[in-house]
Amino acid sequence: MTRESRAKWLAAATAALVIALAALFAALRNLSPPPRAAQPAAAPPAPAADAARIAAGRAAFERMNCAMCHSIAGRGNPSHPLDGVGGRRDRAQLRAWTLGEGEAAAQLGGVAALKRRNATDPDLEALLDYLQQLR
Amino acid sequence: MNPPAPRRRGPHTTRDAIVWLAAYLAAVTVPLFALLPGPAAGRGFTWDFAMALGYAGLAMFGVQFALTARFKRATAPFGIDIVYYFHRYLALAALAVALGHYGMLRATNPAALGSADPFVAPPHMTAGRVALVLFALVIASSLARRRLRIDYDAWRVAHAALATAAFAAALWHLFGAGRFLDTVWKQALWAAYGAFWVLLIAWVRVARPWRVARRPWTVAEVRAERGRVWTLVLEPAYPTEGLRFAPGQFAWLALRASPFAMREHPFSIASSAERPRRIELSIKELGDFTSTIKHTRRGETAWLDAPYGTFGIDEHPAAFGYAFVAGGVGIAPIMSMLRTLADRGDRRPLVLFYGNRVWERVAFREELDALAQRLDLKVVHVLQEPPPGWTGERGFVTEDVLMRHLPVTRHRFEYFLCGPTPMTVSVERALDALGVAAERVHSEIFDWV
Repeated sequence: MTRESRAKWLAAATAALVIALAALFAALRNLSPPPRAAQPAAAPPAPAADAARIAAGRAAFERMNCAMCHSIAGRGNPSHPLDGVGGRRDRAQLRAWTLGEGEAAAQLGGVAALKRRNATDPDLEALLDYLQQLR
Repeated sequence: MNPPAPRRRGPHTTRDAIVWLAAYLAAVTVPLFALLPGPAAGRGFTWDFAMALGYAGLAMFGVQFALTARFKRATAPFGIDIVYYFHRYLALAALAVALGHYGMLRATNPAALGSADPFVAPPHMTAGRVALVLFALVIASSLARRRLRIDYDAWRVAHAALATAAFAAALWHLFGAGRFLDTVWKQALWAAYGAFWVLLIAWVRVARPWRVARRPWTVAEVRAERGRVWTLVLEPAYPTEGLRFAPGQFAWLALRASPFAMREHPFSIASSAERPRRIELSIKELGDFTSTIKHTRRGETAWLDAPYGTFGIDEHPAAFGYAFVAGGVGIAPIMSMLRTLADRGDRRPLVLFYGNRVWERVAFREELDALAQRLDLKVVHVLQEPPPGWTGERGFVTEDVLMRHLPVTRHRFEYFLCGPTPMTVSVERALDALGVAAERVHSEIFDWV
């Protein structure tokens, strides 16, 4: 075997080991199934929102690239799942988290600035309706 | 101040190689596994795997800077050629890993990538995409430099600049999107990790050239050899005992350009290691820079970053004998070894196979005749276009040629090959067929990017 092909195989083997170790990392992180989100306590009843508004809210969720940081029913970034968020947060809290305001701003850090852009979105209320019915 | 002393060491061991490979894997994966403990739960295997590939890919690209940072210790167990080949193929591997990071998300969870429109996407996501494109560009321009006819000096500057920009963009992406960096100490760890590579780049591009610049050499002579080879004779222009090197090692030469200009060129040292105050580099007119050597005048300043490389007899001091195979100007490091052996009064058996096209252009042929008197040296000239009446070997250095001239003790020799890649590859195969152990065959790269 020439020195070049030896180096080639060495590099390929090294890369395979790196990929295997990355897989091991992922496996170790997922040894135990993720804990279920806390069951919603008695949530205030959601305001009636018609299906069209919720569809508009879902469309806004897509358009505003919310899935880059959030997942709903397994779609999107699983770091911050929004499944059942309507049961955990009231509308004022949902608004604060969506716009990066108040207490949410402190926890969001740099992302809060990014979220403030959402304030002028015409479909903001529809988005909040959509989030509120996620239970 | 004295230049660093070359490392004179015995044969490299498999153990050395394993230690360095383990160090590579540790450099790439330890910062990743440091993210494991923490409050956050797993987010599903596929997601976490894709994220881990992102972290690992970035770390692999970081190590790329170290591989070519001219660290003498790291290149020692493998030889510089292996390290450069490693740099090349690991770049492809790192790109594959980084593309895996992106591709897995694209395939399984495209919503999480968001819009690719840079006016809509957060800057750190655009930075990630830019990094991927830049890394791909860096690799493509390196693999296809000759085909694209990109000037070597321009390529070097662009390579360093693009790679640094790509790495900076990747770091930006990591700190913007890195959800595993959920505690202060994890952020600090990765910030330090990123800073390490940035400092390394600063060392390579600023601190090392500065050290080289403080040790100027003067051109004492420019000598014409046969075959359009020019020998540049350099003497130190700063207080020193000279350049201590091992025969076969090479130097990065900066001539008519400051060491900061990234216009250094690697050349084998051709002179005897026993004469450290008179360094000779024998350079064939091949490209833009090498064609200017003949115009160099006495008294001009040159800078040497040296010595480098593990190609040479002093890495294998206990050998029974040495055999050399040179093609054209590949003779330069071998001249250094032969001159050094002669100066040391070595009496071990030596064989030199020296391939050239025509007899009139065989560089150093008269000196080789003289060396054959002082050493137990057999010189076998192999000519592609021999003159009328030539009774020596013709064609290329084949298995038959090797067989005819190597002694029966050939299994106990160490072999040094330097010449065009097709030559070294075919001689490596021929030696393998003759039963010479691969560990005894050493070759020097001759043409790189």
